[in-house]
Amino acid sequence: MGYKTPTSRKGKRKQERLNLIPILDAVFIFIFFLLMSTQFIKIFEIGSDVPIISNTPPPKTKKKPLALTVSIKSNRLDIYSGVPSRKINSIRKSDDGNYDLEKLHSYLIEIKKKNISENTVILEPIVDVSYEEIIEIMDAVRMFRNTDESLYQKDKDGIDVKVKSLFSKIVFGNLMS
Amino acid sequence: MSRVRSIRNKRKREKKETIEVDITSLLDILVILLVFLLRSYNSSGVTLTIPKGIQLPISQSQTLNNAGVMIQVSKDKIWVDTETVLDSEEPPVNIYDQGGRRIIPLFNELVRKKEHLKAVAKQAPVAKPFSGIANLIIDKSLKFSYVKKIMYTCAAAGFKEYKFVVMSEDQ
Repeated sequence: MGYKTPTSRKGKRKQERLNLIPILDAVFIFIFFLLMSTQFIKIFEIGSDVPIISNTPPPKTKKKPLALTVSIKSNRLDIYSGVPSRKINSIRKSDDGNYDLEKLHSYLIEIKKKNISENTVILEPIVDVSYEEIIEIMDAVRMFRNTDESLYQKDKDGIDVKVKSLFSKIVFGNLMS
Repeated sequence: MSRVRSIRNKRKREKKETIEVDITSLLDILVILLVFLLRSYNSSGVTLTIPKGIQLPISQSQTLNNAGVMIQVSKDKIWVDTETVLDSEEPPVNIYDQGGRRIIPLFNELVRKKEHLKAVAKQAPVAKPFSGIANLIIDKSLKFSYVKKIMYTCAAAGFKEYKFVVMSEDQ
Protein backbone atom coordinates (compact mmCIF):
# COMPACT_ATOMS: atom_id res chain seq x y z
CA MET A 1 0.00 0.00 0.00
CA GLY A 2 1.50 3.33 -1.11
CA TYR A 3 1.66 6.57 0.81
CA LYS A 4 -1.36 8.85 0.30
CA THR A 5 -1.09 12.61 0.86
CA PRO A 6 -3.46 13.80 3.57
CA THR A 7 -6.28 16.01 2.29
CA SER A 8 -5.22 18.90 4.58
CA ARG A 9 -1.82 19.07 2.88
CA LYS A 10 -3.33 18.99 -0.62
CA GLY A 11 -5.08 22.36 -0.02
CA LYS A 12 -1.81 24.06 0.89
CA ARG A 13 -0.61 24.00 -2.72
CA LYS A 14 1.28 27.21 -3.44
CA GLN A 15 -0.72 29.88 -5.30
CA GLU A 16 0.95 30.92 -8.54
CA ARG A 17 1.56 34.67 -8.86
CA LEU A 18 1.82 36.81 -11.97
CA ASN A 19 5.33 38.10 -12.68
CA LEU A 20 4.85 41.87 -12.67
CA ILE A 21 8.51 42.83 -12.88
CA PRO A 22 8.69 43.26 -16.72
CA ILE A 23 5.55 45.43 -16.60
CA LEU A 24 7.12 47.49 -13.83
CA ASP A 25 10.26 47.98 -15.92
CA ALA A 26 8.21 49.18 -18.90
CA VAL A 27 6.13 51.53 -16.73
CA PHE A 28 9.30 53.05 -15.22
CA ILE A 29 10.77 53.78 -18.67
CA PHE A 30 7.45 55.25 -19.80
CA ILE A 31 7.30 57.50 -16.73
CA PHE A 32 10.79 58.90 -17.42
CA PHE A 33 9.84 59.60 -21.03
CA LEU A 34 6.62 61.36 -19.98
CA LEU A 35 8.36 63.35 -17.25
CA MET A 36 10.72 64.79 -19.85
CA SER A 37 7.89 65.90 -22.14
CA THR A 38 5.33 67.03 -19.59
CA GLN A 39 4.01 70.57 -19.58
CA PHE A 40 2.70 71.47 -16.16
CA ILE A 41 1.32 74.82 -17.34
CA LYS A 42 -1.05 74.57 -20.29
CA ILE A 43 0.23 77.01 -22.89
CA PHE A 44 -1.36 77.62 -26.26
CA GLU A 45 -1.18 80.23 -29.00
CA ILE A 46 -3.25 82.61 -31.08
CA GLY A 47 -2.03 83.09 -34.62
CA SER A 48 -2.05 86.28 -36.63
CA ASP A 49 -0.60 87.07 -40.05
CA VAL A 50 1.53 90.09 -40.79
CA PRO A 51 -0.53 92.52 -42.90
CA ILE A 52 0.71 92.93 -46.48
CA ILE A 53 0.78 96.38 -48.00
CA SER A 54 0.41 96.30 -51.76
CA ASN A 55 -0.27 98.91 -54.41
CA THR A 56 -1.77 96.42 -56.83
CA PRO A 57 -5.57 96.38 -56.97
CA PRO A 58 -7.28 93.30 -55.48
CA PRO A 59 -8.42 90.57 -57.92
CA LYS A 60 -11.89 91.15 -59.30
CA THR A 61 -14.47 88.71 -57.99
CA LYS A 62 -18.24 88.56 -58.30
CA LYS A 63 -18.61 88.27 -54.52
CA LYS A 64 -18.32 91.50 -52.58
CA PRO A 65 -15.51 91.35 -49.98
CA LEU A 66 -16.76 91.37 -46.40
CA ALA A 67 -13.69 93.23 -45.07
CA LEU A 68 -14.92 92.90 -41.50
CA THR A 69 -13.10 95.34 -39.24
CA VAL A 70 -13.37 95.78 -35.47
CA SER A 71 -12.09 99.15 -34.40
CA ILE A 72 -11.24 99.40 -30.68
CA LYS A 73 -12.00 102.85 -29.37
CA SER A 74 -11.87 104.31 -25.86
CA ASN A 75 -15.55 103.78 -25.00
CA ARG A 76 -16.84 101.46 -27.73
CA LEU A 77 -16.12 98.88 -30.39
CA ASP A 78 -17.01 99.98 -33.91
CA ILE A 79 -17.66 97.35 -36.56
CA TYR A 80 -17.05 98.16 -40.20
CA SER A 81 -17.65 96.15 -43.35
CA GLY A 82 -17.30 96.40 -47.13
CA VAL A 83 -15.02 98.24 -49.55
CA PRO A 84 -15.03 101.20 -49.06
CA SER A 85 -15.43 100.62 -45.35
CA ARG A 86 -18.87 101.36 -43.87
CA LYS A 87 -19.80 101.37 -40.16
CA ILE A 88 -22.41 98.70 -39.50
CA ASN A 89 -22.57 98.65 -35.70
CA SER A 90 -21.20 100.24 -32.58
CA ILE A 91 -21.02 98.39 -29.26
CA ARG A 92 -20.63 100.61 -26.21
CA LYS A 93 -18.71 99.59 -23.09
CA SER A 94 -20.83 97.91 -20.42
CA ASP A 95 -21.62 99.55 -17.06
CA ASP A 96 -18.61 97.94 -15.37
CA GLY A 97 -16.29 99.81 -17.76
CA ASN A 98 -15.25 96.78 -19.80
CA TYR A 99 -15.87 96.17 -23.49
CA ASP A 100 -19.16 94.31 -24.04
CA LEU A 101 -17.62 91.18 -25.55
CA GLU A 102 -20.82 89.15 -25.23
CA LYS A 103 -22.65 91.62 -27.49
CA LEU A 104 -19.72 91.67 -29.92
CA HIS A 105 -19.63 87.87 -30.02
CA SER A 106 -23.39 87.56 -30.64
CA TYR A 107 -23.25 90.20 -33.37
CA LEU A 108 -20.35 88.46 -35.10
CA ILE A 109 -22.28 85.16 -35.05
CA GLU A 110 -25.09 86.92 -36.95
CA ILE A 111 -22.54 88.16 -39.53
CA LYS A 112 -21.03 84.68 -39.75
CA LYS A 113 -24.45 83.17 -40.52
CA LYS A 114 -24.68 85.41 -43.59
CA ASN A 115 -21.02 84.91 -44.59
CA ILE A 116 -20.36 81.33 -43.57
CA SER A 117 -17.13 80.87 -45.56
CA GLU A 118 -15.53 84.09 -44.34
CA ASN A 119 -12.78 83.69 -41.73
CA THR A 120 -10.88 86.95 -41.70
CA VAL A 121 -11.30 89.89 -39.36
CA ILE A 122 -9.21 93.04 -39.11
CA LEU A 123 -8.52 94.41 -35.63
CA GLU A 124 -7.72 98.09 -35.31
CA PRO A 125 -6.90 99.21 -31.78
CA ILE A 126 -7.19 103.01 -31.92
CA VAL A 127 -6.68 103.59 -28.18
CA ASP A 128 -3.84 102.25 -26.07
CA VAL A 129 -5.56 99.21 -24.54
CA SER A 130 -3.68 96.57 -22.58
CA TYR A 131 -2.41 93.38 -24.22
CA GLU A 132 -4.74 91.37 -21.97
CA GLU A 133 -7.79 93.24 -23.32
CA ILE A 134 -6.61 92.62 -26.90
CA ILE A 135 -6.42 88.87 -26.19
CA GLU A 136 -9.96 88.93 -24.69
CA ILE A 137 -11.28 90.67 -27.81
CA MET A 138 -9.43 88.17 -30.01
CA ASP A 139 -11.07 85.31 -28.10
CA ALA A 140 -14.54 86.81 -28.61
CA VAL A 141 -13.85 87.22 -32.32
CA ARG A 142 -12.11 83.91 -33.07
CA MET A 143 -14.01 81.11 -31.46
CA PHE A 144 -17.44 79.65 -30.95
CA ARG A 145 -18.41 78.87 -27.38
CA ASN A 146 -20.04 75.65 -26.25
CA THR A 147 -23.31 77.50 -25.69
CA ASP A 148 -23.43 78.99 -29.22
CA GLU A 149 -25.72 77.47 -31.82
CA SER A 150 -23.98 75.20 -34.32
CA LEU A 151 -23.47 76.47 -37.87
CA TYR A 152 -23.00 74.18 -40.86
CA GLN A 153 -21.61 74.71 -44.33
CA LYS A 154 -21.64 72.45 -47.36
CA ASP A 155 -18.29 70.98 -48.40
CA LYS A 156 -17.28 70.16 -52.00
CA ASP A 157 -19.18 66.83 -51.83
CA GLY A 158 -22.36 68.55 -50.65
CA ILE A 159 -22.10 67.21 -47.11
CA ASP A 160 -22.94 69.51 -44.20
CA VAL A 161 -19.83 70.18 -42.16
CA LYS A 162 -19.86 71.94 -38.80
CA VAL A 163 -18.13 75.32 -38.82
CA LYS A 164 -15.45 75.17 -36.14
CA SER A 165 -14.36 78.78 -35.78
CA LEU A 166 -15.93 82.22 -36.02
CA PHE A 167 -13.38 84.61 -37.56
CA SER A 168 -10.14 82.81 -36.81
CA LYS A 169 -7.83 84.71 -39.16
CA ILE A 170 -6.95 87.90 -37.32
CA VAL A 171 -4.95 90.64 -38.97
CA PHE A 172 -3.91 93.85 -37.21
CA GLY A 173 -4.91 96.64 -39.55
CA ASN A 174 -3.01 99.63 -38.26
CA LEU A 175 0.29 97.89 -37.54
CA MET A 176 2.34 99.56 -40.26
CA SER A 177 0.93 103.05 -39.71
CA MET B 1 28.84 12.82 12.60
CA SER B 2 29.69 15.69 10.25
CA ARG B 3 28.06 13.85 7.36
CA VAL B 4 24.80 13.49 9.31
CA ARG B 5 24.83 17.24 10.04
CA SER B 6 25.40 18.14 6.44
CA ILE B 7 22.39 16.08 5.33
CA ARG B 8 20.25 17.82 7.99
CA ASN B 9 21.44 21.24 6.81
CA LYS B 10 20.76 20.35 3.21
CA ARG B 11 17.13 19.70 4.05
CA LYS B 12 16.97 23.05 5.87
CA ARG B 13 18.53 24.80 2.92
CA GLU B 14 15.96 23.30 0.56
CA LYS B 15 13.16 24.54 2.77
CA LYS B 16 14.44 28.19 2.54
CA GLU B 17 12.60 30.24 -0.08
CA THR B 18 13.39 33.56 -1.72
CA ILE B 19 11.56 36.51 -0.13
CA GLU B 20 8.90 37.95 -2.44
CA VAL B 21 8.08 41.66 -2.11
CA ASP B 22 4.47 42.55 -2.82
CA ILE B 23 4.74 45.15 -5.58
CA THR B 24 1.01 45.48 -6.29
CA SER B 25 0.68 48.73 -4.28
CA LEU B 26 3.77 50.18 -6.01
CA LEU B 27 2.25 49.32 -9.35
CA ASP B 28 -0.98 51.09 -8.33
CA ILE B 29 0.95 54.28 -7.57
CA LEU B 30 2.84 54.07 -10.85
CA VAL B 31 -0.35 53.66 -12.86
CA ILE B 32 -1.87 56.75 -11.17
CA LEU B 33 1.34 58.68 -11.93
CA LEU B 34 1.23 57.47 -15.51
CA VAL B 35 -2.35 58.70 -15.99
CA PHE B 36 -1.46 62.10 -14.48
CA LEU B 37 1.60 62.46 -16.73
CA LEU B 38 -0.33 61.37 -19.82
CA ARG B 39 -2.90 64.08 -19.11
CA SER B 40 -0.25 66.80 -19.00
CA TYR B 41 1.76 65.47 -21.94
CA ASN B 42 2.88 68.13 -24.40
CA SER B 43 2.30 66.70 -27.86
CA SER B 44 3.49 69.82 -29.71
CA GLY B 45 7.11 69.13 -28.80
CA VAL B 46 7.82 72.85 -28.43
CA THR B 47 9.50 73.98 -25.23
CA LEU B 48 8.74 77.56 -24.28
CA THR B 49 10.68 79.48 -21.67
CA ILE B 50 8.74 82.11 -19.75
CA PRO B 51 11.15 84.38 -17.89
CA LYS B 52 10.45 85.84 -14.48
CA GLY B 53 8.45 89.04 -14.76
CA ILE B 54 6.17 87.85 -17.53
CA GLN B 55 2.55 87.02 -16.75
CA LEU B 56 0.82 85.50 -19.72
CA PRO B 57 -2.75 86.51 -20.59
CA ILE B 58 -5.46 83.88 -20.19
CA SER B 59 -7.26 82.69 -23.31
CA GLN B 60 -9.77 80.07 -24.46
CA SER B 61 -7.44 79.07 -27.30
CA GLN B 62 -6.61 75.37 -27.66
CA THR B 63 -4.16 75.73 -30.57
CA LEU B 64 -0.88 73.96 -29.91
CA ASN B 65 2.36 75.91 -30.11
CA ASN B 66 4.57 75.94 -33.20
CA ALA B 67 8.34 76.05 -33.35
CA GLY B 68 9.75 79.48 -34.10
CA VAL B 69 11.88 82.27 -32.74
CA MET B 70 10.81 83.19 -29.21
CA ILE B 71 10.50 86.87 -28.36
CA GLN B 72 9.93 87.39 -24.64
CA VAL B 73 8.83 90.83 -23.49
CA SER B 74 8.48 91.97 -19.88
CA LYS B 75 7.96 95.50 -18.53
CA ASP B 76 11.69 96.25 -18.54
CA LYS B 77 13.40 93.64 -20.73
CA ILE B 78 13.25 92.00 -24.15
CA TRP B 79 14.77 88.60 -24.84
CA VAL B 80 15.17 86.68 -28.10
CA ASP B 81 15.45 82.94 -27.42
CA THR B 82 16.35 83.72 -23.76
CA GLU B 83 19.17 86.10 -24.79
CA THR B 84 18.71 89.64 -23.46
CA VAL B 85 18.57 92.21 -26.25
CA LEU B 86 17.17 95.18 -24.37
CA ASP B 87 17.39 96.02 -20.68
CA SER B 88 15.84 99.25 -19.42
CA GLU B 89 18.50 99.43 -16.67
CA GLU B 90 21.28 99.57 -19.29
CA PRO B 91 19.58 101.10 -22.33
CA PRO B 92 21.60 101.71 -25.53
CA VAL B 93 21.89 105.24 -26.95
CA ASN B 94 19.46 104.63 -29.80
CA ILE B 95 16.52 102.35 -29.12
CA TYR B 96 14.00 103.41 -31.76
CA ASP B 97 14.12 104.47 -35.39
CA GLN B 98 11.63 104.84 -38.29
CA GLY B 99 9.63 107.40 -36.35
CA GLY B 100 9.72 105.43 -33.09
CA ARG B 101 8.13 102.34 -34.63
CA ARG B 102 11.12 100.01 -34.83
CA ILE B 103 13.16 98.75 -31.86
CA ILE B 104 16.75 98.67 -33.18
CA PRO B 105 18.38 96.07 -30.82
CA LEU B 106 15.43 93.70 -31.34
CA PHE B 107 15.52 94.21 -35.11
CA ASN B 108 19.28 93.48 -35.28
CA GLU B 109 18.95 90.30 -33.23
CA LEU B 110 15.95 89.06 -35.23
CA VAL B 111 17.76 89.63 -38.53
CA ARG B 112 20.83 87.81 -37.17
CA LYS B 113 18.60 84.92 -36.04
CA LYS B 114 16.84 84.75 -39.40
CA GLU B 115 20.12 84.72 -41.36
CA HIS B 116 21.50 82.03 -39.05
CA LEU B 117 18.42 79.81 -39.52
CA LYS B 118 18.55 80.31 -43.30
CA ALA B 119 22.27 79.43 -43.39
CA VAL B 120 21.64 76.27 -41.33
CA ALA B 121 18.79 75.25 -43.65
CA LYS B 122 21.06 75.77 -46.68
CA GLN B 123 23.88 73.67 -45.27
CA ALA B 124 21.79 70.83 -43.85
CA PRO B 125 19.00 69.63 -46.15
CA VAL B 126 17.29 67.80 -43.27
CA ALA B 127 17.04 71.00 -41.20
CA LYS B 128 13.69 72.75 -41.19
CA PRO B 129 13.60 75.88 -43.36
CA PHE B 130 13.06 79.30 -41.77
CA SER B 131 9.36 79.28 -40.81
CA GLY B 132 8.95 83.02 -40.34
CA ILE B 133 7.07 82.41 -37.09
CA ALA B 134 7.58 84.79 -34.19
CA ASN B 135 6.35 83.37 -30.87
CA LEU B 136 5.42 86.44 -28.85
CA ILE B 137 5.61 85.83 -25.09
CA ILE B 138 4.38 89.17 -23.80
CA ASP B 139 3.42 90.32 -20.31
CA LYS B 140 -0.34 90.88 -20.09
CA SER B 141 -0.05 94.33 -18.50
CA LEU B 142 1.87 95.87 -21.42
CA LYS B 143 0.06 98.41 -23.57
CA PHE B 144 -0.75 97.88 -27.23
CA SER B 145 1.42 100.85 -28.31
CA TYR B 146 4.50 98.90 -27.12
CA VAL B 147 3.24 95.54 -28.44
CA LYS B 148 2.68 97.26 -31.81
CA LYS B 149 6.36 98.32 -31.89
CA ILE B 150 7.43 94.71 -31.27
CA MET B 151 5.07 93.44 -33.98
CA TYR B 152 6.30 96.10 -36.40
CA THR B 153 9.94 95.20 -35.67
CA CYS B 154 9.23 91.49 -36.29
CA ALA B 155 7.57 92.31 -39.62
CA ALA B 156 10.45 94.59 -40.61
CA ALA B 157 12.93 91.78 -39.81
CA GLY B 158 11.17 89.45 -42.25
CA PHE B 159 8.83 87.47 -39.99
CA LYS B 160 5.44 86.82 -41.58
CA GLU B 161 3.44 85.22 -38.79
CA TYR B 162 2.87 86.14 -35.15
CA LYS B 163 1.93 83.57 -32.54
CA PHE B 164 0.68 85.16 -29.33
CA VAL B 165 1.54 82.74 -26.55
CA VAL B 166 -1.28 82.51 -24.02
CA MET B 167 -2.16 80.48 -20.95
CA SER B 168 -5.13 78.16 -20.92
CA GLU B 169 -8.04 79.21 -18.72
CA ASP B 170 -8.46 75.73 -17.23
CA GLN B 171 -5.32 75.64 -15.09
